Amino acid sequence: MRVTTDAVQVLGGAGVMREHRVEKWFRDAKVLQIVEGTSEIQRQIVATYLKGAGDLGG
Amino acid sequence: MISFELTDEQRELKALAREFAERELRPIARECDEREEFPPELLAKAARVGLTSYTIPTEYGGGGADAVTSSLIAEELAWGCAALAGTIQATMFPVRPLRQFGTDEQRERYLRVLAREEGTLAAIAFTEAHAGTDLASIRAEARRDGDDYVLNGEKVYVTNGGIADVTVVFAKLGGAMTAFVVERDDPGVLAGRKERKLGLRASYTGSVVLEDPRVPLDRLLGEEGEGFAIALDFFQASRPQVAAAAVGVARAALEAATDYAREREAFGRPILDRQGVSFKLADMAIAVEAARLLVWRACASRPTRCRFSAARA
Repeated sequence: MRVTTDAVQVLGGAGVMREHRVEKWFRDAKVLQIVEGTSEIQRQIVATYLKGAGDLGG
Repeated sequence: MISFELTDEQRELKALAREFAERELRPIARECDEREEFPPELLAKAARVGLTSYTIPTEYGGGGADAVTSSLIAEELAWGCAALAGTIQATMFPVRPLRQFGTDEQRERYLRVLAREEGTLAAIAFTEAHAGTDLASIRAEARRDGDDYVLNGEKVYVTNGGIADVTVVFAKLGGAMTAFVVERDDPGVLAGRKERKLGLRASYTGSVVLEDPRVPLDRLLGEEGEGFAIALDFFQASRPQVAAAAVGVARAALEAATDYAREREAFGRPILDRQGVSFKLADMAIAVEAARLLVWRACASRPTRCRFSAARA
């Protein structure tokens, strides 16, 4: 999400135009942050490991 | 000793996915996004070169790819178009539940169907209108009636929901989460509303309506009440693949932004010469590399380490 957001910014005006692909990637990335468990759910899972054995496999 | 070298097979598969993404996905990505449609012929094209079956074990006609190899393919396909890639890969959604929990007969029947070269639309249906990751609170119900199970409920936000040939659905059987396989032609398995989305618009997202379909007992996946373990096992494998797709989208954006910054001039110089832009691009490149390494690490780590699957192991 951050990379695609920055890509839109680097392109400036062209970045928000629908002719260019970066606005689509920006929208697609947003959905990928949500499907199969939101980013917050992923963090909750990591936090659960930290609370338990604290073994993240390092 | 640590190695990030890909094997010859991994390099070949990555190149195959990259070529498919460049030739078949990128040219149509914009139009499919506008129309919110997946071109039906694309599935067969992907299936013919093995891109809908690479995770299926070789004995059932698939590619037998491991998680790291799958992530290489997922990154390349998403670089082409994450929405079209998502539909292509959805064919493999039922693979892990079948492989880990299915009977030999179920594997023989369904994995072969999923691996066929004509392409097969598949789905896995967890979510309900009021329950996303909070899977324990689903309301879809299953009951045993003679030699059948009867299912009832509605699953929403399902990729290929209602249009898939094969769908794994989760419902409560006597209060215990249980997984079933339903087929498109089962009377009572219906397509509900198709959603319109912000992104990934070319992938079909819809609801599966279960209006009391009667399915034979051999559609039970795993044991009665084993649905929760099946779901967690699925997510553990699928989430790194979604992350791999995000890496592919990010890489596409990084490349496009870098190309643009090299060409575009402002105040007499390419904007790439300005630190405000070049540092941003450098941070983007670092983020893409770091995310990819995390995906590879997640894919390479042994699943038994995860407490959720440890219960079954």
